[in-house]
Amino acid sequence: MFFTKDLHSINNLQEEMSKIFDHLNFQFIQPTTTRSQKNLPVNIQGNKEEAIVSVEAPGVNIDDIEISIDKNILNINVSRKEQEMDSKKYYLKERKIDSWKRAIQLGFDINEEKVDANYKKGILYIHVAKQEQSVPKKIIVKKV
Amino acid sequence: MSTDIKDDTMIFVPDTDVYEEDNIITLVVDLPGVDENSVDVQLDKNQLQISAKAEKSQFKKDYKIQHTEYYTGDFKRTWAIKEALDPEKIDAQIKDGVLTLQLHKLKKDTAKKIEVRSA
Repeated sequence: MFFTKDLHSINNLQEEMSKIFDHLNFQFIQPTTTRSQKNLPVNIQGNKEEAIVSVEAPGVNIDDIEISIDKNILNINVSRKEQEMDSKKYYLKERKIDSWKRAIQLGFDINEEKVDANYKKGILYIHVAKQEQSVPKKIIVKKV
Repeated sequence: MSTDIKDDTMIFVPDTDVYEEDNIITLVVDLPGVDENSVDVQLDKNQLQISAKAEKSQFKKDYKIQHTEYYTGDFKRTWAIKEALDPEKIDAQIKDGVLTLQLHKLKKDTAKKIEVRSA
């Protein structure tokens, strides 16, 4: 790709810059961007029978995760709760404390009995199976 | 077909909270997809580096990517620390993709008071 090279040189530039800052022994090396949480980022992968919806949600209690299904729509509610802040002196607060809502419209009707969700290492995986109604029916022609 | 959505060149800066309580500085770092074996914390003089590798999820072979809003990559962030820290007393634990790092401040040497006697 023609612009890959340019992107690499930007990466190199960033590296060089941070080396300079390291060398100067700056008081803090503040990054330009953080991976700030969007509204529950979702990845979807699947095959003909099912799909896996993965949701990036670190540090969430499983009791604060709600999943519901309405035909072909998967509703996900996640809230991340605040810790006690009373005696703490905060220097930096980047992690968002909020509740997020997503409604994901899938290209098929969901088989409600075959939905399985698990939470692992801060990522929520929802396995959804397709409804079997779309299987074509064979019609036998009778002789009169 | 591979379901790998990891781009090797991607390094993310994780969202972090930093607070102090009773001479303990705590860093709370969001590291989704990271377990305890793939986190590396190093304190070198006044520089603290946190790096982590997020493992990509293993899915069935015939799975295809249909929609992508986040990428799996590595995390790296470096902090310079003003305060003197006790390198022996660093406590790190990870739960549900969140790393909590507790750094104990070294107690400042109390200045020696010299009493002046009258001669």
